[in-house]
Amino acid sequence: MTNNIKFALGFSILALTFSSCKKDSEITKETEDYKGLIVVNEGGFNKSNGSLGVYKPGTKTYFDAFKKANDRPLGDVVQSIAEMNGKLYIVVNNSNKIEVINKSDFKSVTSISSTSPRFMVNIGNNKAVLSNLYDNSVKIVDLNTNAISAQVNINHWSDALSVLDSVTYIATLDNKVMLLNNKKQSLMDSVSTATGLSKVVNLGPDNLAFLCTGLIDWNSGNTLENGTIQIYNSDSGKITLSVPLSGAGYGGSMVYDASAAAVYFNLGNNVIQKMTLAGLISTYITLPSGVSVYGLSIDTNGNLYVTDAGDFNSAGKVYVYNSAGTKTNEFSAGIAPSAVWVND
Amino acid sequence: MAPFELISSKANSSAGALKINLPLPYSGSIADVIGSYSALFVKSYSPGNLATTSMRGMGAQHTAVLWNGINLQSMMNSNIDLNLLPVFFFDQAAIETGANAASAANGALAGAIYLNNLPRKLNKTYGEILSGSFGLNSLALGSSYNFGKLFLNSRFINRTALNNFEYVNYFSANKPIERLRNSGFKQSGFMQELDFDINSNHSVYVNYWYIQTDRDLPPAMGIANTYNEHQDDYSHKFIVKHNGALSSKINLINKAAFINEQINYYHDLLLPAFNDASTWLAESQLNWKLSPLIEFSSSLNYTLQEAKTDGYHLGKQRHLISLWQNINYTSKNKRSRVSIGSRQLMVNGNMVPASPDLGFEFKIYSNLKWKSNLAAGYRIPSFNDLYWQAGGNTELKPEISKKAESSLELNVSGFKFATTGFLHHVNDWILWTPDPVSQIWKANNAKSVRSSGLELSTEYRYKFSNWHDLKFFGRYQFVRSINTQVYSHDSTALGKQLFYTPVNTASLQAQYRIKSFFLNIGMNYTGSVFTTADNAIDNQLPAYVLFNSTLAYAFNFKNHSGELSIKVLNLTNKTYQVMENRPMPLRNFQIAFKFNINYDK
Repeated sequence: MTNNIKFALGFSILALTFSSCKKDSEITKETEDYKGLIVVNEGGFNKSNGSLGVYKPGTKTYFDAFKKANDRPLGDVVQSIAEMNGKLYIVVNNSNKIEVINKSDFKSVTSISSTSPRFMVNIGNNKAVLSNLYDNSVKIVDLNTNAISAQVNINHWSDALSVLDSVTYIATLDNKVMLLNNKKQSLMDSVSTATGLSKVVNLGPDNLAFLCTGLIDWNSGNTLENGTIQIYNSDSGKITLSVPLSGAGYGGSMVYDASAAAVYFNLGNNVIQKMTLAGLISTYITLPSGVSVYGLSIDTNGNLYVTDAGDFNSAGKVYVYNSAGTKTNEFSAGIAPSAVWVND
Repeated sequence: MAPFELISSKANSSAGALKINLPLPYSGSIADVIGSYSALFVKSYSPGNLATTSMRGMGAQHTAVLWNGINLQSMMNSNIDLNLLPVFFFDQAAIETGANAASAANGALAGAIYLNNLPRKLNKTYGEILSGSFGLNSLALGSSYNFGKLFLNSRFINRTALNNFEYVNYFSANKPIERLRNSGFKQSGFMQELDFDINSNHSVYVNYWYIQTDRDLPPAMGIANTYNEHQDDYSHKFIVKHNGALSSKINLINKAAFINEQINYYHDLLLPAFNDASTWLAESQLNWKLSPLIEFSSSLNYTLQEAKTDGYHLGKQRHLISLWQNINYTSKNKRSRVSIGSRQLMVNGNMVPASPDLGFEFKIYSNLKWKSNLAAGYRIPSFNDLYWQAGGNTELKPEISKKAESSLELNVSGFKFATTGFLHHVNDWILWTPDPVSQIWKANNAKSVRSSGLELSTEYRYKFSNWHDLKFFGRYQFVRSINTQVYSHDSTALGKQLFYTPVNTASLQAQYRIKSFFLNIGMNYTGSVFTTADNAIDNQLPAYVLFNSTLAYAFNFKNHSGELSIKVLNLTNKTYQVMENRPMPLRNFQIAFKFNINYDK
């Protein structure tokens, strides 16, 4: 080997070593970068400015994480997010797609096409259920191939989802919860609920809570029927408790705090209420006048994340409350934030 | 080529008014003309789609569009789609950014666009055939006959476009090149004019036009389905005008008009929405030359507005009575003019505060003029603001505007230059915001805006010889339009520039003629705009410069004339967006043949 060849070879190895080192450091940096609070921002309808952001409480910084990782915006109406097998499934409703990204670096893995998707839950055996509007069936997604492998007709448009004891509970827009057998992937039963079924929340062993937000006259804004929270027992297959609420709302949010054995809910105004599993309701948090809660999320430590979409045309806000109900943080996010998820 | 006067010398305007006369080609819409020549920001979703304009940093609802003195703004939402106004149907177009534009009509808080018909009593057939990129085909055909006392003029247009241009879809992983979907455009219409001289002092003018526009509405980039979103617009406009000279000093103009707009909206997942609005109008205007130096004008206007939409399906109506008075004084040495005017509007019997204006101009030197204006104006809420269910608010107050401006105009042998500084305040700006309790979006007097800025205009004409000359026009606008009061729960917008309102805009046109060949190069600069009210740094559209070029050959044959032209739009193939995630076409072409067959000897 001549000296020139040796030099060239040595230089190449050196260059490769340095470039490899640089690459590793970038990966490490990015892995750290995407840890924090993931905020799902719906964006303005028909404006394609929905986003998935990350807020880092330590540095109090917020950035458009999906765009940063993939050098492209996300789409129109970012509806929900679900973690499955180390990946995040971002459901982008009006873009008719589910963006699949790595949880670690937010890099895009693939994109699944589906008409007007809403929510996604893991049902085991590397399968997930996907709900959608404008279609009377739910889709079964194969998490190995990230493709829709089957669909199950449920005779209704579908929305919120929850899994309990190998059964997927599917909220419909017709005040019915449809029960899907996860193993057979077939429809097994249905439950009629109160008016305005909005959320289905898993309360742990054998129980679910249904948030029904009542009925409002679209024209006048007057309440026609107050909302209800119902507790459903999966063993008996019956609603065991119906608690009338003092008002109604258009969407509403509800989460379950296992440590407090209570749900926190909101009907779109500035008051977050608490209901024990026995049905006792009390005011939990009152936000400043003018704030209208757009979404509630809770982490395993009982921290409650309250999103406020504001005018739907500027950065929305996220308020963080600890398990004692004390506000510990607030920050600006993207347009119309609706949910927060902890990426640790 | 059509005449273009950036700084109008012939505008029939009050003292202190600033008017720009626009050229009118035979093809395209008023949106195209304003976008090319005025440095006004035209908000356009895509070619042929909804286009509105923002004047001096105000909203689209603050610019009145007057056709032969009749306000064409929709009573339903106070807007007008400039793409629904074909230029072939007008003989004169002008923009008045002057403070006293408020006296022209309710809602002209920022300014007014004037579209007029001026019968030219010639016997001729004229028109244009145009073909362009993305399936654009246009035919404009007119014919006029002069029978002495009676003059008839008929015009017909038909325009179709696929608008299926290519763009880079940056929402998809590999950023593929795609074609815009669901963006077809079809427009056809006709206009009939009649002008009859009863005698040397009295004449009657009648104009009726009908236009039908069928448009597909393309989705924003990143949206999967088009849902066959589609809108059909049908418009009837009719005016009859009597012009009478009662004496050598007194002139009386009587007008009656009817306007009907139907808008049908279709979407695969929604029930069709039908909107129908009609305006009936009667007006008398008296112009009285009290002395060689003083001229008095007064008009009384009655307008009935009726509309029926899904938001108020039983229909709503209102009666408007307005009295306008104006007095113009010109000094003996003709160096100064003063104008004082006021419009008083009554809505359903309730008085709206008066809209007064005061303007003056003073010739500092024979070629240097100083103009100033002070004015207050009001804009009454639209039917949607008042009655739409849910969210309409019958308690709304009119928006209040106060403004001042001052300008200098220099005119030195072929060179014109004007500079204007202005300050506008609009209080009780009507805004739709979500109700914190019911979550229903409601109309409220929620905002105040202060708009201030500077406008520069210049115009230069140089004749090298009889066979070649150069014309140059330039216009620049700097506008700071700031929220001084905002919706209570949107404090992040306080002190911020209104979104989709560029701080800087500019337009340059150069036209060179050599014998029968014309070369026109136009440049339009639009500064960056924020797409959200809080002016978040990440939510901005970048500034862009567009170049357009036209090469034309004009010829005469006996009495007749023709012009063959080739136009290149977006000459530099610039990728740009006017509205976020709405792609616009890259370089594209048009070829046109324009003709005038004259029957007069």
